[in-house]
Amino acid sequence: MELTDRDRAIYEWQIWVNGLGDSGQQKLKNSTALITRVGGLGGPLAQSLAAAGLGKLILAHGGNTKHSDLNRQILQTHDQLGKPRIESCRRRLVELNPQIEIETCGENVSEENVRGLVSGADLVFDCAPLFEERLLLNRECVRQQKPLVDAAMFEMEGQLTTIIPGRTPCLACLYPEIPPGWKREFPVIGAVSATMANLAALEGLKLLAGFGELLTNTLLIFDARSMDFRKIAIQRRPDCLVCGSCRPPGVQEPS
Amino acid sequence: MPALQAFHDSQRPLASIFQVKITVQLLGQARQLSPTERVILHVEEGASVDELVPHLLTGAPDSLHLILSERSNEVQQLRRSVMAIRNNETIEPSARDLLKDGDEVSLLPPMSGG
Repeated sequence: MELTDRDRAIYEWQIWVNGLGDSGQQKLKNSTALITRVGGLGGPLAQSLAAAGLGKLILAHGGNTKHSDLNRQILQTHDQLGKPRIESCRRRLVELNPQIEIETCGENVSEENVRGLVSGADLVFDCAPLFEERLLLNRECVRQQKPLVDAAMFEMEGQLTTIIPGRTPCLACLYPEIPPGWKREFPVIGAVSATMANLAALEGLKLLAGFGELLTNTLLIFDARSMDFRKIAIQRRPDCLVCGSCRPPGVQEPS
Repeated sequence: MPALQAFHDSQRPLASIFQVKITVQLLGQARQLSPTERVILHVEEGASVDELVPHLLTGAPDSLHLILSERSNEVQQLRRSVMAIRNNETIEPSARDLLKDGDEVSLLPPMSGG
């Protein structure tokens, strides 16, 4: 799809970004991203992608809105309490960008739905609160050779990396097993999760539009107490059970 | 022979009995479980990150042990899903002779908050 006059009017100041331009904006319009889940990270992430003119979002998140969601899950509203979260996500995003196409799944990612969810996307964003879901999504993205932006946080800290199967470490390179003792309920300020969400959105926009540098082979870690950012060099594990046999994109198998 | 052994003992490099100061910074969930973000350790020169772990966790709550350590052949070591970082690069926890006097090592456990 080409950019319309309306698109050029709405995204005028964004198109001015050096390296993005008309062609980048058109790529965004023709791109589909999967976000799971759509909570403290996924919500503001979806909002920023919708505001940037992404063509389509696939959103997966089960359950109903709770009071404790409302300090950070900014796609939820008070009148949505007790009702399916995913309905509010659609409503809020379409209010922001009436042109965006939204496909929803009222379930969290699982063995049953992950293949279909990933197959519909050009890019996947991992914003789940459980390692089981993250590692499942990672496995499927490696299998389908889909790029994956992995964003996570804990209390006042966050981390972010972009995974290109075969070229960078996958999540299983970093976490070969589900780590014990993970506490999914923790102190959280919405501004911290939104910060990581928007950094993830920027990674996705750069990847899809084709400009800037990505956090490939790099883990960005952020400490909101000290406002320190650090970029940590990370490597693939040759013995990774998920991506160890994966070739970089475009590399032919030896004959 | 005792005189010969004494001679060889006198030739032992002095460096092998040096202690070095290593600061361990705890990140993520480990930081929340520890009373302090940074711990200063004095260890044998050449110690690996794995060898720091028993010193680091002396007196620590069980929850911090669970996050940071595991046992391999009855020896306590850094849990393999925890990232050991020095100078913004990951380092192999079992490797000796990487850490120098005054180094700071950050330990980053996995995080999955969304």
